[in-house]
Amino acid sequence: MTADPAPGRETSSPLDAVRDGVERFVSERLGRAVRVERLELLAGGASREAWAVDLALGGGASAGERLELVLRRDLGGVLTLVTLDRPTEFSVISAAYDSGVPVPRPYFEPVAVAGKPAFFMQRVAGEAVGRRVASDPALARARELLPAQLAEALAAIHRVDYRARGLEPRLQHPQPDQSAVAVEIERLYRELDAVDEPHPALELALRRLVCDEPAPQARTTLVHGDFRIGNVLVGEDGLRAVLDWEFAHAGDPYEDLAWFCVRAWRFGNDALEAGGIAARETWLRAYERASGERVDRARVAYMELLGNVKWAIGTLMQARRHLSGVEPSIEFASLGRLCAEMEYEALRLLEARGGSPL
Amino acid sequence: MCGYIEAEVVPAASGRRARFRALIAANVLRIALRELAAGAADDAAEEALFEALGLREGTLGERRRELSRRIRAGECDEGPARDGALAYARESVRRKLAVANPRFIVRVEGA
Repeated sequence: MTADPAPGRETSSPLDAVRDGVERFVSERLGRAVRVERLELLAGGASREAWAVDLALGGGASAGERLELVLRRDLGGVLTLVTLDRPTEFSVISAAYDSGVPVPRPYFEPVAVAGKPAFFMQRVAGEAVGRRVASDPALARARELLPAQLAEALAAIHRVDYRARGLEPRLQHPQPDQSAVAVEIERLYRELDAVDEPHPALELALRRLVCDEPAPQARTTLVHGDFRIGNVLVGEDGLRAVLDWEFAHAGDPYEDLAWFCVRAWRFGNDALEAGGIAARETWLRAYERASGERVDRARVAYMELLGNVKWAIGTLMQARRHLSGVEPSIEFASLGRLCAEMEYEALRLLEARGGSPL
Repeated sequence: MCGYIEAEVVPAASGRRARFRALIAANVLRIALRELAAGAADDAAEEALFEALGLREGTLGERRRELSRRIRAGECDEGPARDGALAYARESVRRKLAVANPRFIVRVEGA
């Protein structure tokens, strides 16, 4: 089903095209008159957009009903090999929603709006900006509640039966008996080669990860892929929704556990190793309680080093896209410099691992 | 220039996005200035680190690639090769940070 403006009609701006597309789709879908009362770009990059959409529904017994939604729309361009397209992201959020994970409620089904893949979800009020979630005094009480709430949410994510929902073929996933970590290391080497710059610090970290490779994951689960402060919506009552699912895949749940602790996501509260809001043990124990699984601290430490290397290479890839002119953006020029910070942290973790041979 | 951007351009920029971009522009300029200042002294330091690893042939860039190749091939897994590779990596990252974000090391080591 597409939601394009009527043929022959001139659209004067992307905003008009999106408004027309939304009104046509929702009115056809619901069989009611629909008016877009508010349409505002919340976040936009070269590859993806999020719009706030307020809809007034007409006709029938519930005339005047309003829907306050978010429209996520794909503009094209791929950041890494594992970014989900909008229809798959919609399916993942739906599976999470149905499993009781706090996520915005998805609406309708994937659609094309003004020619681009998109989907709708409930707009949830709250704060997502990492620095504010980590430090805003108004959210002090929320921060006390968050570790347990986040652990519950993450444990629920890891319980989603993605196979039963038919999601496995649509997500990056390891083959049966294949180690997710081994696959990830291979992918990171390929990405580093694509960047085509020598990075001895990252080579040392990767070599250590190869030599120390742990046993394959005890369970292969749905993995959020970017579970961290900055991607969760928070209010004074604590966690409201987990956002930004475009890196979801199937793999080792320890990846999510450790990513939450990566230094880059502590927003200046470096001593609070879990997301800049809690001590590491607080976080890991909360997850143990929520999941009923014992957490192997050594595996978390391994995955934290892997996460740092992954993010370092991610910044290099983004910087390269900037230099190649594909996505010119001054933000990307700064990203390449951030790689040095990640390399520093990777070396620090490497040396903290100790051990005589590498 | 950085001062001009921060004192004149940023407040005049309309909208959060323009101000955000102006601040980033000022920061990137600062990084470029530090990079220019670092220059030749860094190259000499890097030569010395490569010397300790027995890497004497080729440009600095070629030697970086050779070191990366050795590390990946497992030739720096232990002993003096490992120590030299770690020393190189540590120093080169520190130098990059001195240019890119000098306050980072202070912050991390102080935590």
